[in-house]
Amino acid sequence: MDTITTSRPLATYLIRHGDDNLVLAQRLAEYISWAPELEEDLAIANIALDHLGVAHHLLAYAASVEGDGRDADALAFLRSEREFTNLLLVERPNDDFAVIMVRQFLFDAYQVPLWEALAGSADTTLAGIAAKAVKEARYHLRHSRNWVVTLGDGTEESHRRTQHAFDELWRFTGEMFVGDALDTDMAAAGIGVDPASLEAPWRRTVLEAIADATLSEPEDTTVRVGGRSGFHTEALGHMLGEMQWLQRAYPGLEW
Amino acid sequence: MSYSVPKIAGESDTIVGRTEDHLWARWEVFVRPRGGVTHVYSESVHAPDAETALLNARDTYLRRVEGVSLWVIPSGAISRWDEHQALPESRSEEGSARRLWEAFIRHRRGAQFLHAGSIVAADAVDAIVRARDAFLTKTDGVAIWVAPSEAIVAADPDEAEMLFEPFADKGYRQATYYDIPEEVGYM
Amino acid sequence: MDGEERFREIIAADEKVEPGDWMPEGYRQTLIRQIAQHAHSEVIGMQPEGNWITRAPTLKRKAILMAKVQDEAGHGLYLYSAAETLGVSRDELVRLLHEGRQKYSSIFNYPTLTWADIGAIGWLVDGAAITNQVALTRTSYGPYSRAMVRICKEESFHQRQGYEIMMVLARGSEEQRAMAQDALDRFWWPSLMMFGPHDSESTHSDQSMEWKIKPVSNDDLRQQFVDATVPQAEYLGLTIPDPDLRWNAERGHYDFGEIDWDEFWRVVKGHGPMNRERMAHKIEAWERGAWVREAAVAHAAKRTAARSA
Ligand SMILES: [Fe+2]
Ligand SMILES: [Fe+2]
Repeated sequence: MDTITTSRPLATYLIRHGDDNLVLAQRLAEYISWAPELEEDLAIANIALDHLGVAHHLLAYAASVEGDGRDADALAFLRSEREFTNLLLVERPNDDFAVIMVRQFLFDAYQVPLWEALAGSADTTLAGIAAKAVKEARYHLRHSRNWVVTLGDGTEESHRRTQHAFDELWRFTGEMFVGDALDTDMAAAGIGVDPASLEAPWRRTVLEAIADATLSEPEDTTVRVGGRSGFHTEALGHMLGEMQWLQRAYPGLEW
Repeated sequence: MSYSVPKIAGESDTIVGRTEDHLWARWEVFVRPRGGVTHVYSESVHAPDAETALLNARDTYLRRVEGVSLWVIPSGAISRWDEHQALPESRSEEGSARRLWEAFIRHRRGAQFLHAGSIVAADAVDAIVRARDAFLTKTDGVAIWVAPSEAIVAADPDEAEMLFEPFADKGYRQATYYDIPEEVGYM
Repeated sequence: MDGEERFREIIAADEKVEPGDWMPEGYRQTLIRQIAQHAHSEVIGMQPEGNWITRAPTLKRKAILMAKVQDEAGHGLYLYSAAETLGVSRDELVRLLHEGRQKYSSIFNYPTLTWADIGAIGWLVDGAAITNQVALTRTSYGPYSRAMVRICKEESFHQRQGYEIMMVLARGSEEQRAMAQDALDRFWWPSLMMFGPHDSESTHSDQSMEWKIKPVSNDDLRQQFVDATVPQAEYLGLTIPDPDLRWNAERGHYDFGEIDWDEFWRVVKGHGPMNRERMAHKIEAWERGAWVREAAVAHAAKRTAARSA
């Protein structure tokens, strides 16, 4: 911790990853009661609950590191769109089941090596959260990969939809591996991980599944960034409007 | 939640249909809970294949129960016997081609099936006869299921962490998480 | 002993009938109808509460509500699983629901308009459901009874989380108290309706009671629920919207007013506030999922073919 001169960078770092999990949990929550089978409704709720739990842990820890009176709920419900620092990928809307599963798969393939690395963080609280999260992420990956392969190599329609989902989401994947000064500092301090180091394992996982799914790697080379600096797609504002509405409409109350 | 919606015009009277007609096959689920000595029957899920069946069973039946092992068996692979069916007195001839079967027993009406053990048998009927001889002292109210051991899809013990642990810290699923004053009565 | 004799003996001895047993066709049909209706109710019941997951006011409440709605999906699943032991498939039952040939509980045809409704549903609707389901653990059909035992274990947190929401609101701001009272006003009578028509009006009850499918009568369960709930409302400082509600020392029970049976029948017959929306949501979700279900079957077939090739 010595190289970090104030607590801000650590809090900011925790909030980023907290936001990833919160925003994805919220997207999955929107989908409950819309799954193709009852079993899948249960599965998606489990995944959403895992992400929500991780978000809660990270935001609560961030709030305590900040030490200026905010709690996890204040971070979740009272920050504006420009203050959210999640990856753009996780805020993409639930267009269809293929998009939901491919989005999940692309993110799971990133989170597994991320948590593996952070489980060795010099910050023991973060390491503890990561050690728990990695077990969940491995399961999420097994689940989403199973669906990606099933849908890719299913019917003509499911193949088309799944390929389309990869093509649509591909430009949001590069952002996961683009680091900034904070990432560099946190990695140097042994607290965080260099995002670039996660790309190789991610690619291995993703390309292998794409092949098993009889799909092709998207050709899109666009890398759309902005999430970590609060420059989002238009989808996020609507999501937050819904998520934060009650806290904003009745400020300062207990629920 | 409703058991009391009265019947109205247009409602179906008799239902014809077969359990097997579901698009996704039915899989029977068995869970060995932490501290449990054997696999206990845990109802069913529907799934298109073995991997999805295993994941579905995990997501459905291990949301609270701390499991240490999970099995799914295609419903169609199970041969069922109960007190109403006659059974041959004796086992098949030794020396015939035999394989391994798993036997599950419901020891009385109302109880859940429990995994009793494995047996070597020539076919399903032979497996039931041998299971009866090996595991039962009475037959009243008892039912036996047998399935070829190879039909059982089991969660890999190496994967126990990711399959079973994530539920440990979801305390809000338990009633004790909520502080309800005693004066409002049992809830 | 023939099957019919054995069946009567099992019922008389308060033992469980199991899937392989001979049973009268009427018993089987009644069970399929009741279990399916129960299963459909759990699944449709995801909608009114699901309506608030994305707007839950805190991270904790969001997790609790999501876990609860998920449990209801699970309950539906356990019940369909039990119904299937009677020789009918879940797909078939879902189809009958979608065609309007099977019903679900009318309580879910009321909208959830404020956050307090989530509290009221947990407290009252799950409370009423639990009253019923605890009684049903003694039902004569083994798989149904076991599903009830599993469900009752999970339900234990549903009512408590709802009541906790009501406690927080009741001791909160003026607006929150008003929200809580409004939710109680809207959900009280529909909750009493959950127990169904009076015993004297209920055409199914006699045979069901004789077969021990339904071990306790509608009116007895309703009384049990009212007796348990009145002190809970008093503790919250909320008023139950029934001018005729009072303790009857002689009976040792609360007396309460008459349900608006016209409203009851209106909603049962499809004219409640949300009947159309609930069914439209359910059917749309099912239709949207068709390509996924089919793709999964196609993929499984390809894998099997590849293995045996
Ligand atoms: Fe339920
Ligand atoms: Fe419930």
